[in-house]
Amino acid sequence: MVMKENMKHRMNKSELPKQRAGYTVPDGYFDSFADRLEIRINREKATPAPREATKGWIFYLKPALSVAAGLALLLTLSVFFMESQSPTFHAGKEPAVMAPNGNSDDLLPLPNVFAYTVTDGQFFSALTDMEEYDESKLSKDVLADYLATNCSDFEILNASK
Amino acid sequence: MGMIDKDKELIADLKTEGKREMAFQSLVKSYQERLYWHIRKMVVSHDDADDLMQNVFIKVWKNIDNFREDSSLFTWLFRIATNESLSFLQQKKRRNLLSIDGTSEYLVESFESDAHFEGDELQKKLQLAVLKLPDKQRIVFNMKYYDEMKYEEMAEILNTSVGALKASYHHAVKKIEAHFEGEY
Repeated sequence: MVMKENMKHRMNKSELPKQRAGYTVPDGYFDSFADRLEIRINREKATPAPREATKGWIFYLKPALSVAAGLALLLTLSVFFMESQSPTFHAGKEPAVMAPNGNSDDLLPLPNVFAYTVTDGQFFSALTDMEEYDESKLSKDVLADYLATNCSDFEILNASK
Repeated sequence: MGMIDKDKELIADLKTEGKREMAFQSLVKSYQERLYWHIRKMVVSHDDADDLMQNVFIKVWKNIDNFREDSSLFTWLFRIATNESLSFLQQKKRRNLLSIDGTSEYLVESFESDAHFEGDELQKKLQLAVLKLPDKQRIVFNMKYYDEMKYEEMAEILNTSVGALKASYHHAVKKIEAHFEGEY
């Protein structure tokens, strides 16, 4: 309390000349300071705070937009995952395998076994057909046709060795 | 009515909607010169000191409702002024990519180009020595030597111990002596 009184006493003392340290102010500076300050305060009152001014509709919609973006991402990933599990996913794509000579620059295209589209109904009926498969029906002609369609001469020669 | 009571009344008026503007004008008139010289000796340039003093009073205007009166009004004002000035010098240092001693270089340049200095040769030499001190030692030297504050008052404003302030002042005086002897 005594210290605070000392401070106030010092505040009321006439200004110490030493306090200026040789510096000066323009004429009438302290007389006009309060008025200039008032003008600046009034100007600040009239101008909305910058942060408030920039708050547009996006600021208020930000939470909803974030949730929407998250849902859209989730949906996209789900669709991609489901499609990747479907047999039609690889249709039209030609995955490559290493060339027999081991040279990675000579990549060979795999036979395109899904070059046609298969509906779910066709897929299940094909499974049913396989269950009813009768080995006796497999004639030599059918086998030859299959080999001619699906295997190269090189593979057939290698398999027969 | 004692000074502390007067301050309390002033603060109460500042926090009262209808009395705020009058009380604020009274506050500005009472403290502007002391605050100005405190800031001016820290930043040297009159224009910078003027800007900073306006910032200080605007902060007071905006934050008076949050002033809890744990310290005196005098201490609170000087603390805001000191922080504003130090922040200003830090910004200058960052913007100009100045070195550790960069503040001194900037202040010496400001001092040499300042039209508002009318001190004699001795005052000029002393100022140049003071401006070469690190920021904290310079503040302590200014408050002790020029403003003749007590260490206890300074400790309250700068939120540090009396011992640390005495050490800072001692180092500052030694460096200034060395400057006068041509060693610093």
